[in-house]
Amino acid sequence: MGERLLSIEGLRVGFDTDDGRVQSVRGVDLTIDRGEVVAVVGESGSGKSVTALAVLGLHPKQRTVIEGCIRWHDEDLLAASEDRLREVRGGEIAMVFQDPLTALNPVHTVGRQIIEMVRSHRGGSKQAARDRAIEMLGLVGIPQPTRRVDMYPHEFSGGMRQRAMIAMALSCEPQLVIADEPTTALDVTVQAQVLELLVSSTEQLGSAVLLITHDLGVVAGLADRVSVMYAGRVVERGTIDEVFAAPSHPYTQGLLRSLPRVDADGSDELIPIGGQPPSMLAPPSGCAFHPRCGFAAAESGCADRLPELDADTHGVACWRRAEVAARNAEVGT
Amino acid sequence: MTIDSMSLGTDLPDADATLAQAGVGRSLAQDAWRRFRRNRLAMVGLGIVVFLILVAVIGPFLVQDPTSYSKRVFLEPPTNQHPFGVDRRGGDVLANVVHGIRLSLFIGLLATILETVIGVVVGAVAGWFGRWTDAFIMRFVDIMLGIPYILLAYAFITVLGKGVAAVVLTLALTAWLQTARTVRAGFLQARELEYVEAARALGVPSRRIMWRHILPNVFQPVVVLIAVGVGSAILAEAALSFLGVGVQFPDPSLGRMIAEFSSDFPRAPYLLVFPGAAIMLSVLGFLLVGDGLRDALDVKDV
Repeated sequence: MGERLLSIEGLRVGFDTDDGRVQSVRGVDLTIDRGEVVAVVGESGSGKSVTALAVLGLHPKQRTVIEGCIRWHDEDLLAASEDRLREVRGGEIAMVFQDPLTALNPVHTVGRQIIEMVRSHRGGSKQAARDRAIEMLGLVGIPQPTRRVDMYPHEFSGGMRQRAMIAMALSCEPQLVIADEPTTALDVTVQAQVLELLVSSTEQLGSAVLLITHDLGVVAGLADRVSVMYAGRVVERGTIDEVFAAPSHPYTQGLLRSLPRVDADGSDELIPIGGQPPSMLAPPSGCAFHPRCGFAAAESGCADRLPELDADTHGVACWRRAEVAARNAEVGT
Repeated sequence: MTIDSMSLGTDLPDADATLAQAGVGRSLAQDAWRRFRRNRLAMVGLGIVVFLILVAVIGPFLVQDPTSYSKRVFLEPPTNQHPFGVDRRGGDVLANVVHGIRLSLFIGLLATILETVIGVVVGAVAGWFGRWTDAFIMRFVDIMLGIPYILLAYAFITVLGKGVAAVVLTLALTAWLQTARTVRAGFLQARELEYVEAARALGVPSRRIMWRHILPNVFQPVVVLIAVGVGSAILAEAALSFLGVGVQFPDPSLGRMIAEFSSDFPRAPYLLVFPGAAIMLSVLGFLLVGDGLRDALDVKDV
């Protein structure tokens, strides 16, 4: 493992609303080392995007309460000044957004937007920044980058737009790229390509990737490590092999069972996870997953006590881990 | 289909042709101009505006001096020498109308420029800073808008005095309210846009975001407001002058001429036609252009 880039410890993010505090993130630990690809998986409202935005200090100051620690190298980003944050954003940590159609400004050409970003961080002449933009567009596999650089976002297809967005994010050689559901807005046919491109181009530049997604399937071949989030907490984390070979939290298992597999013989039924995601205004007591969990049992205290991750390597936050593992061995999954 | 295969990374041999065909690289302005050109009414409006500008620029050299009065003819119908007739002072109506158009355009443009600057600055401040700054400014705007326009203008001009400068100031000080509201709404909307968030996430400085990403967002409605604004300013100037508080004799004003000619209506009804038509044409021209711009720029909320 390389040098530690980012470490998030005990992060809690809450938003004050008229109905009370919505505690979106309730104690998240996450680390990313240099050059690593780390995936955060969870359904809508699990707090994964909120975590990412907190890293860059992008939550509005009013009505947002952030606790815990976000350490970037040796620096506490939560205590950083707005000027310092601006340097970090894009320069050291860049972000790729979900929908490139709305994340690119329609009134400026793609090139102008990359140039703007390069010059915001590195200064230099317009021509140099333009050359850099063309180079980056070429790097992400956009044909005819010298012409494409002067085109508007609406003249790009969805996949091309996201490539341009990636080119923009990578143009200042950030050490970390946060990709928030980078393929959700794309056609299924181009999703895989864009993801592969994201990972290969960051590899080329030596950047680490924090990949945020609700789709466990997309992370399988790409990520080194994965953290599964539920109701604002990490419920399982480990290397990709550990989590896929032996999913040990009932929620992770549920996610995997609800995923269509190309390599299955077709007899496997997709099993949805029953129930509704919890309201973060008033999350369930104890383990937030217990109302939807097939393993929940009163004697284990699932409804009363909040489980913590039980190990540093393949950690699972579940009071019934032993029982879940026993069942796994029985069924042979 | 073509786009799909391109996004797959396959460089098509005829990609150049395809791109050219798709009108690639055409800017927003070019697009808007194409749409504007296809709008017949808008082009009529543009024709009127261009004609009026020509009249204002060249006209004064072709007509008589509006302040020289004939000692012999008064209230005369159109003749070869006086195509628009002669007024009760013995002045040539054509000369007065031409100079009136010139002054109207001048006042309309100047007032609108002033009004736009005030409106954009105030609206941007309200929309950018938000919170109590916004609440304070917008409540003030609401109160001002609650006062009937002509009453408000009357109040201003009473304080500012009569004459051209006072009219320009009055028009500007009463018209910026709508611009401020529009700009502020655009700012509020744009602040929530994902590309503004994305620009922030990629470390673009706030001031740049404001100028490059948010201001263009309000550019289109402001352009429409400017075109419509010149039309309304001309109309308002005419109204003030008609009421006797606007442009004063001897400055030529279409509104003042209408007031004067309407008292001569029983004896010389034809006189009213020309300044009336000039006002109508000016207002119509700018409103048509504004409407055309609204469609061409695809502005929905002005």
